[in-house]
Amino acid sequence: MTPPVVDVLPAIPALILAVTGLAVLLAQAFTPRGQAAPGAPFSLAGLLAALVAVYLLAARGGGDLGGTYVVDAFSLYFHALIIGVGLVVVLLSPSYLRATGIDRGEYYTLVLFSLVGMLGLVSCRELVSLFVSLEVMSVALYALAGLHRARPESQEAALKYFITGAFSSGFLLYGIALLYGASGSTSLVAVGAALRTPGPATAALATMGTGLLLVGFGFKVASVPFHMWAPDVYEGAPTTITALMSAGVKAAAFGALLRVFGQALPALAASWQPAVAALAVVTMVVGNLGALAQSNLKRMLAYSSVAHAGYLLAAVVAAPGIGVEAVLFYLVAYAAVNLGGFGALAALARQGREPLSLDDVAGLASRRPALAAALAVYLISLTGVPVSAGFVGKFFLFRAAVNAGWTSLAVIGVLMSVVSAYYYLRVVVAMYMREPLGEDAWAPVPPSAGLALGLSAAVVLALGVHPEPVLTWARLAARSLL
Amino acid sequence: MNALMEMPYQVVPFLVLALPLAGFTVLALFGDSIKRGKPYETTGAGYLACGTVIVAFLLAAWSVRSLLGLGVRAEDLRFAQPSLGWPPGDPERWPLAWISVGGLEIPFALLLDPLSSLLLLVVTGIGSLIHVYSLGYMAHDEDRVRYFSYLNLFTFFMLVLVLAGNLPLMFVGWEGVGLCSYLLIGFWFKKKSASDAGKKAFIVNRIGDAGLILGMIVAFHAFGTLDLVDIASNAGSLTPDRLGQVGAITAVCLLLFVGAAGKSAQIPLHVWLPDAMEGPTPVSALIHAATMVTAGVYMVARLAPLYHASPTASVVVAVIGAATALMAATIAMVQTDIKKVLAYSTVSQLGFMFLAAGSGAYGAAVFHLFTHAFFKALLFLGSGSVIHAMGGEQDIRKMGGLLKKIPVTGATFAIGTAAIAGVPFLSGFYSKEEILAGTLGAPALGPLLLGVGLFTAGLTAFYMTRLFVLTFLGRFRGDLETEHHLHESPMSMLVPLCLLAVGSIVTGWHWLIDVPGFLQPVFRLPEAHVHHVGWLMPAAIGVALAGIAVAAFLYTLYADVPARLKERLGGVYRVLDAKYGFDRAYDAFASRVVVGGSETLLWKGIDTSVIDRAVNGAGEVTAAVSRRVRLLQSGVVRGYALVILMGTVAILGYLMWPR
Repeated sequence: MTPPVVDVLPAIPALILAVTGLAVLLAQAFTPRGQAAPGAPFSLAGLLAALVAVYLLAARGGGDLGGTYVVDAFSLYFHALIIGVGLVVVLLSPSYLRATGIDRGEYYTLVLFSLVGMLGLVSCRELVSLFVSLEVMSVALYALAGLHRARPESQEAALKYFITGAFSSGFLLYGIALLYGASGSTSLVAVGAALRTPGPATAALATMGTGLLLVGFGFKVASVPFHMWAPDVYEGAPTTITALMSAGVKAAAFGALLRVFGQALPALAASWQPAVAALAVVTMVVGNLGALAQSNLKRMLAYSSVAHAGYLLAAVVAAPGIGVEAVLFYLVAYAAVNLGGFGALAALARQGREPLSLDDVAGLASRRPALAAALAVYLISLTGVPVSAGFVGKFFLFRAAVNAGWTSLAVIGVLMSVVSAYYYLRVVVAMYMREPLGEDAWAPVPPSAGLALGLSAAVVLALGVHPEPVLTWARLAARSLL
Repeated sequence: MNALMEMPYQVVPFLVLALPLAGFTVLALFGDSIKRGKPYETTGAGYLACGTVIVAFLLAAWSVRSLLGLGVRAEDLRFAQPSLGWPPGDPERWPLAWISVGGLEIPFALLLDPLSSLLLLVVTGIGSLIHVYSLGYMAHDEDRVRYFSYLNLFTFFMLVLVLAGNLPLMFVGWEGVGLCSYLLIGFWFKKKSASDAGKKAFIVNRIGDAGLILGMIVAFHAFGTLDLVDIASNAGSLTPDRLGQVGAITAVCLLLFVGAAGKSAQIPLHVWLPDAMEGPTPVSALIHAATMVTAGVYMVARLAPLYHASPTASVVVAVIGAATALMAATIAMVQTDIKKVLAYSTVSQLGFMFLAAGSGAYGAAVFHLFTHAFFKALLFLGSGSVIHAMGGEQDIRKMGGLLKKIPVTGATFAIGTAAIAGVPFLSGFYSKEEILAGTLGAPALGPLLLGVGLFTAGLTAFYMTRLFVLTFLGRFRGDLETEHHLHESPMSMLVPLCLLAVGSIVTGWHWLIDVPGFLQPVFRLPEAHVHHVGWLMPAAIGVALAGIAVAAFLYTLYADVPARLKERLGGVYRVLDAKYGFDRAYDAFASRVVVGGSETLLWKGIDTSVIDRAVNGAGEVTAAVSRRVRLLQSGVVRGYALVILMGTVAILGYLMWPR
């Protein structure tokens, strides 16, 4: 008779990242004072190993860790996306850290830990472990946002992120407690089953819990009115961390949102759908109009990230159906574009400065033609012009909304995309149609960052021209939620 | 038909597409080294660009001709991504779908039927001439490699637009030509007006694109397909018991028309086209007269059965078209920049085409598109030759008497003027006559539309004659320096002018090229009842000749009358000179309401001051102080928390509200 075996294989990718993080920390301990441990190569090796593990897991057909942590097609999709985001961020980091003087070993450890949290967030099928994953991710990010100890903006960002984050986590936790009260379980499947036949008291508790969960997730995805931290934090945090937040955190939070609302709360869809739709509308409108008024590029991209949360929410409304695959596809397109956009700013950093205004990027096309072309590709994709991932992605998002009977959401979304052309275009115009101002103050693009930016641009164009493989994969992932 | 014989036609459309793309790729990749290289390399780059388009034209002409010769029902020729599988043309074996997911199949499919082959010939044919002309026109510009690479890229995207077999692929071309147009308008970006004009074109077109995207989404929702032929045949098979669909059809038609109005410069989205004249003149001829701006007309004609099924949408199209034609023609009467006159004339002629399409005379619309491509390209290239001779001067008040100095340009310009004015036996006369006859077939308002059309035709003759007289007749009014340098353009510019002049004469002759008859099968409509009213042709000739005569008298014999009129009718003149105030209204709206509103209200207003005040209370800390307290802004963080709380209360309030 064999003893019961807990199958830990599904958690291997996350474990690899966690162990790598510890190894980087240890390596820093053994490095002479004042020098930085080779954190980037370690992290790259760990991420690649994790990617291989994901591939092997996928070949094995996923797995299940005691019903709490599952690796199905849905979480495999997000595993690949999140580890890919991690790879690009690590490639962007070394030159940026040196340029801004924050090259310290704990940076990579914290990045890896936050990635572990994201992997958990998209894989947990149980509300308490989901909350723990969320906090693992968030605590690492609070510290990362404040890594620029000498810069007040960075301190401000960390503090604001921490305070408002803790505040919204409270709502999330309270929501989980209410759902537990309503169903007697924290397992998503059990909650879903219990809510299908609710009593009157149960229904009230569950509805309230749903609302509070929406607030918690709304904060993490930067949906209006829970978005106010985003511009300050995106602006103040080190730019590579901003890239990680806008691509990784948003993807992981949407993953968790889809899983929780799709598996535990479909019975309440009739009540949460209009609320999500309302959030989508205000988020699209405030995000785009807010971006219009920005002169700082990082703040502009922050508001743009708010706006895109709105587009994604418009498809979440159609979630149990084709909305899920539309969201999954768009998250990849969006991650590539944001990594590229913030990465391009980070790659140019020199002596603690990076381009932040339109004047800073004026005439960039003549000084850094390849980088300017890549940045133009990202901005065009954000606008949603064809032959870019953004066009295909938006088309599917809005089609999902129309098919679910929410035509007005699609109309507002398309109109707001038109508004967005104005602020994205300003950057392209400055790069291509203005003369450079003054001396060339920016760094030459470092090779590893160049590789990361090239990869992002290639993904954007490839998804725009031939989106089918990723779409098919997204559909498989979406099906595994049902 | 023998499958073997069909093979080349499967490949040719893709080859036609590939040629300009290859030209662009080479020029874009090696542009910098060519520019730094020897002079003959730069010249070679120009020849390369011309070569790709000319070969594309020859291939296109050959395949269209052979297809017709084979007696193939050309409307059924649909191709997909290199279908070299066997048997060719078997849709099951179309190997590469662009997008195929969730019931949505979008193949990389091309469609070659009489309509698209006509446009294919226009794009590559007139495109070739304009490429050749550019060799001479841009000979002294140091950035001409970049110029030719954009021109090739434009040709590629225009061909994608014209040959696309489904709406999303057409949209790729649609956006692509927009991008190239924007790049070429702003080609001389060191000039602020040029880059501003580029921006304006882009933004106005985005508004149109929003309509197009929404139209596509609704169309897919309503018809379950985005294939152009399928949509058209769906609409054609509409029976009375399925009239519930008519609402959807009207919505699709109107949304798509927003896109068409953006691209084809119809009210109220016409404002970008006159400014687009900041680009090099051959670009104005190719993109902003002959090809891209007619894309909207092409799309409406392509979806003729759809528009036919919705009388409401058709009437809207016709009325907007007629209004645009009239408005632009009146503005053209007071313009003094040679290219601006032609630009407003283009807007006006595009209005004529929509007038025809909205009245159900799709054949007439495309016929006029075809003839207009010739004479308007001729006029623009002619104006380029004039500007070239005048050393960059574009003000017609400083010209005059140029006919003697640059006779070839002058003579060909005269032919173009006569063609657009509607002088009998020239191409424009025939196509305009078809349009005027077609207006009576409109679902409503027929006689009114005909009246506006006739009146506008007279205005057209007037402002074109005015332009010709002021430019080419009378005494030279510029300075001696310019007069001394007046010279005829090089052969590379004159040959295209002469060829286009021939085209402007003969393309209307029915016995030579019967365009409406050629197109008839495409529209899948019952044989249109053409209202050939007996008095229409004399009336059309009458207004044309009257317009010419009035302008000729006013600007030669009684040269003081226009000035006196201007004084007497100061109010009217000011309205026309201000172009009915569209630009000013838009500027005010864009800068004050949108940008200003979002700045003051949303960002400064809500994000900063409202929250500060709500939290801190009016007496505690004013907004001004809180802006100075940059470090850690603890008050603002409290504000953020308050907003989160308010949002939570709102959501819970909504969810828990007893229902």
